[in-house]
Amino acid sequence: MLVSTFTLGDLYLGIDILLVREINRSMECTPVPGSPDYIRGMLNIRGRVITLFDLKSRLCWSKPDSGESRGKQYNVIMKTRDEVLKIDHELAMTKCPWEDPVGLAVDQLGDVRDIVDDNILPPPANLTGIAADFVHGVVEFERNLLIILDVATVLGLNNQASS
Amino acid sequence: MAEEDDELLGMFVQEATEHLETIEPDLLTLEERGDGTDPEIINRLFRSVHSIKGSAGFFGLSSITKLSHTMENLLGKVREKSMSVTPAVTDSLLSGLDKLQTMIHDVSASEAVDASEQIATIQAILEGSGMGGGAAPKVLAAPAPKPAPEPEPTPEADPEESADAAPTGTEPKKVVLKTFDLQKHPEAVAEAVTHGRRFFSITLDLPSGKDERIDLFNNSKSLMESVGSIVATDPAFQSNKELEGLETSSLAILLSTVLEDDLLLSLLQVAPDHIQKQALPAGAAQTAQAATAARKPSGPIVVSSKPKTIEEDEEDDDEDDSGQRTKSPHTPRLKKPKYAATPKRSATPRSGAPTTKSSSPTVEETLRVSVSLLDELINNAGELVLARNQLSRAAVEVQAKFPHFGPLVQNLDSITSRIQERVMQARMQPVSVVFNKFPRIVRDLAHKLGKKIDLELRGGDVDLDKSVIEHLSDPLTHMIRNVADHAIEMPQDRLANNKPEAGQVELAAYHENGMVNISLADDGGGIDAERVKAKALERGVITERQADTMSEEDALDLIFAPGFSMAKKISDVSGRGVGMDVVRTNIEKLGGTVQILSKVGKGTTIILKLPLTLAIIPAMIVSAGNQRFAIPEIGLVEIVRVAESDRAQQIEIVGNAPVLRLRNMLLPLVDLTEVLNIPRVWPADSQEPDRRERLSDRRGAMRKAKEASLNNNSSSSIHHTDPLSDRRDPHTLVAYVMVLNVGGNEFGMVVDEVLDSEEIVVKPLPAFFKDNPCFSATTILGDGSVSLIIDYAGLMEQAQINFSNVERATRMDLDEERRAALRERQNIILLETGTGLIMGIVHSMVRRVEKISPKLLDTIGGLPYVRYDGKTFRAIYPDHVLGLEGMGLSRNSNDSEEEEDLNLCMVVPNIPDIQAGLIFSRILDTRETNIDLDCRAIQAPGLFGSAQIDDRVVLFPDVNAVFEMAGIRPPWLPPQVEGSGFRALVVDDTPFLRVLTSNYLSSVGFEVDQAEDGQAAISMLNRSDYDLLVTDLNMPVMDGFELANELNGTPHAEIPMIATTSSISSELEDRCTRAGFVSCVPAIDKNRLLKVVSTLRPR
Repeated sequence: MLVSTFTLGDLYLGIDILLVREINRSMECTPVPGSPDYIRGMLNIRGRVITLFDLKSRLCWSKPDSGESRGKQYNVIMKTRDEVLKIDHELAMTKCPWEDPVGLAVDQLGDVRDIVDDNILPPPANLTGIAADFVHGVVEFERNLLIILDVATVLGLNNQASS
Repeated sequence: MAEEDDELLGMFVQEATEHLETIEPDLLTLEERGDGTDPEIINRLFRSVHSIKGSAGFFGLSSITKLSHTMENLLGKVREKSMSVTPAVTDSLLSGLDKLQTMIHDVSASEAVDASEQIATIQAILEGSGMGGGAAPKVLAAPAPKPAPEPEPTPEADPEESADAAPTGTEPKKVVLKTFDLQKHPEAVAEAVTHGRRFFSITLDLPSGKDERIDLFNNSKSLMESVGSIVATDPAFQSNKELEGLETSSLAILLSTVLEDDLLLSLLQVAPDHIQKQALPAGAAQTAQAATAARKPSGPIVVSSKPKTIEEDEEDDDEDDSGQRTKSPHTPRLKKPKYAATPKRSATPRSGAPTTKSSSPTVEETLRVSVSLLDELINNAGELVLARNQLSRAAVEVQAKFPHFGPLVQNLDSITSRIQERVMQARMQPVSVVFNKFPRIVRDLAHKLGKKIDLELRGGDVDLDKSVIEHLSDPLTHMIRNVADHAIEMPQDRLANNKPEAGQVELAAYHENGMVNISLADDGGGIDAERVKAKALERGVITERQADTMSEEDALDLIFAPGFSMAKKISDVSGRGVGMDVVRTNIEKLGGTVQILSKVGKGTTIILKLPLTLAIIPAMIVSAGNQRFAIPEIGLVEIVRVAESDRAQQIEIVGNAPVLRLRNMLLPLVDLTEVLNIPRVWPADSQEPDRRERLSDRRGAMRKAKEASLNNNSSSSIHHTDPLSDRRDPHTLVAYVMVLNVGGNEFGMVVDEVLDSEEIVVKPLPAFFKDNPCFSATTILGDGSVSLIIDYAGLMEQAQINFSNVERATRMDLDEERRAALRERQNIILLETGTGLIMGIVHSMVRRVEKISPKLLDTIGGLPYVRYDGKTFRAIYPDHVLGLEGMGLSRNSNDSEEEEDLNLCMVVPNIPDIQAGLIFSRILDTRETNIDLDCRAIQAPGLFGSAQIDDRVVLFPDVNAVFEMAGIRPPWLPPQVEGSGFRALVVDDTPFLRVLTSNYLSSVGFEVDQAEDGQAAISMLNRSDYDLLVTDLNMPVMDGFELANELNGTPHAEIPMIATTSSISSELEDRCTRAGFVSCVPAIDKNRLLKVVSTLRPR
């Protein structure tokens, strides 16, 4: 599958590209009082209200913020379930339980990688820096470990995804 | 009503078709998975069939009702797992489903469809004898050649059906019933079809006496016309004369009515065999329905002109056809399902029946547009509005260079607004579309259940999104059904409980918080939370431990659990525990909530809160912290600006909650920043006091003050903390209080700033924030940023202000507090004496304050005088007179000499006949405030006492005493009054003046009691005797005039009354005289008062 990759600190992360709608430079967003701290807030992209997750804090990224300003970050905007349904029914039903537009804030963008499904390994037990629940699998890439995210879990929707 | 009924039937067909569409795949799943089927699917199956049954029942579609009832029974067993899913079960259900489809596709002919085979099959399975898997016949081949005996499906069969069945058994008939040829009354038929009426032939046995005959006929006629209309009689006659002359012994009347036969029977009091239902000609029904469909092109009513059937053809020549529901010997004939029949010959339209209008060119052209396209349009219209807003802002600059640009933008502006409006309208429908079907349903239900129910509809014109409207029908029907069935008691029980015989049910729609609320309130028996718990426990819905700890509210919520029913017995109206389940599922699907409030014996209110998704609403944009929020203007009552400096006076604590004093009302306050827990923003140079902390400090202080006031029982205790301790740094911070209304309760929301009023496009809140009660939706503001729309009710919840508590506390305290407030709030003039003392004089004691030049001061005979306005006033330095110079702050008189020279002022008191003034160096302030008079700290003759205002000690002189001490007397002799042995009652809301007046009276020997208002005075008058009543005219609760009025006609009227007032006028004096007062005197004029008193003759 094609994977859109990006970095978060020194983590190398990827998301199935079929789930990605667009990628923007990060922009100002409206915080939602009372929401968990891994939800940065909401932003408006062409009239759609997008919920923006702060991936770093969601993944319990333990390393202290390297001081990078958020201004340099990017927002990976995900497709909604309805949008995925139009392309891939199976994928929508299994991997895409969210119905509202949602985005993930990441540090740097990487390339698009083509990955053979067989190469995807279960998350190693000694995986550090990221909670294993959020990991769909890992792929070794040029001595780099590409972590493929389980977006549904990241968004806190895993229960629905499994059914 | 006609259109509504048509609409109803159309909607029923539409709904039922939707249900059928889900039943089929679900049945197939059931067949496939057998006992392992997901219970949710079985539940859904059950609900769908139940819905069809319920709705069909209202239309008297007994065949559909019967069949679906049987199917439902079977599904019920499957759901309870008391019957396993065998092929026989699913086969029978599927065959039943096919039959149902047949009937619903051509609803008007559904009564003629024979489903006995299917019913029998299912019945057999139910009875456990199981006719074997393949027994279910194929539908289209099914029609039985002879009428199978009606199997009574279940004991709780529709009463209507039993009534139907009755005539079957009463053959042979004693009376020869006449039937009418309906073809001869085409207009009546057409009307009947559109109005959902039925035809009955009623036979009256005519007595021989002419007068009796006419009486009987007229009685029957008026009865019948109250429920329908008489179409024809047989034999026909025109006048009473002709009636008298009729030779027959019986008269047949053709009645067209909406009533069912059993109801008609009981109403008209005729024997069952004297009444017969007449079938409508089949063609008439269809043409009329086609007409209906044509009239309502937007409603996708699934009725098509079906080929005419054999039956209809036969009716042409056989006018004796006795109808579809009554089983007369003529009935058995081959009735093929209409849509399966092949057109034998082209149908000719009935003579008078309206011809099919569907092709008529007069129909307004409509186009079906998919909802998603509409949504897209709305979204884009919203974007257009944003772009327009941005453009308008940019236009301001551009316009300077290109003058033509402005009009262009304006044009675009108006077009945009129109587009937006229209697009929104395209989706909106009034709730009356749904509401209007309920009067009929309630009526039918009431009759069926033997109850009386008055249904009131309100707010039918409230517009709701089409998708919301569409999904409202089912839940509301279930709710209404439940109300009629369970909530409303039988008439005799109601009467026994002192309730009106007819149950009062109100169905209302109204806007609140940008939501549409639909409330269904009844005054029925209410729901007993304990019983609900017990039932839930019994059904295994909850565990015993849960039951023990469950709150009443949660218990009431249980009625929404699937499979839960409170009905003692299952009826075809409700009681299978699907109703409330359906209600909640459907409403939540719409993003709404269901709330239930109930009081045993008093009634139940169910409130559906429906979001106005996709709506554009007017909202105020406010800021709190550094964030902007939208507050829907619906529910916003007013905005109050509270300057920090006034904060202490306007915001107080009642029952532990901060409240705003607003026009004699205490408004609970919620600080938006605090509730949302967002960082507060302070001006850069502020010392960032934590408001919350301060609030709690004040709370503590408040409580102490309260306790103190209780202990002292003193009316003048502090009701808010000392203004000064609360006073802010003088940078003028201002807070805004948005006064909001939630369900009739008002509360104030404190925000930092009010920015703008905007029409905002409501966008649903992302599911990630569904748990947050404070926000109802989001919107995009003019600058493109996302903003949250505040949910008032949720905010209250979040703020943990239980309205009922606050309300109660507020109400309880309100009277006390209000009295206290009004009593003590005074306009005070603060003045500074030459020695730097601050004195306060109540405004009402002052006639005027003059600025005088010191040059006008003269000394005559060692005493200072002021020449002013052609008169000479005796000048009095209050600090001198009171001997308080020493208390003054030492001031450098040299510095301020010049200034003072220019700024002397003279206060002329409101005492007539005295030409004297108090001399002060300057006016500091006038202030409306509460005085907490301390009579102990500083004591001096001629001084009432002192109080702290703005951290400074203010002395309150007794003006009269000061003059007396200065040796000033009115030109006439002081009145000689001997009050010893007499009792006087002084009524005044101002403690100050009350004490003053009392002092005047007691100084001449009166024994004085005090009351703070008219009401208190009356109760005191009732307790003991008084010889004199002196009352202020202007008081809260009951003023002086009211008091006089109240006393008039009682023994107390003989007590002489004197009115005191701060501003006297001849008009007022007249009014006082009319009201029975002896006289009216200025409040502080001791001499005048005593003079009046001296004229009174002791009783």
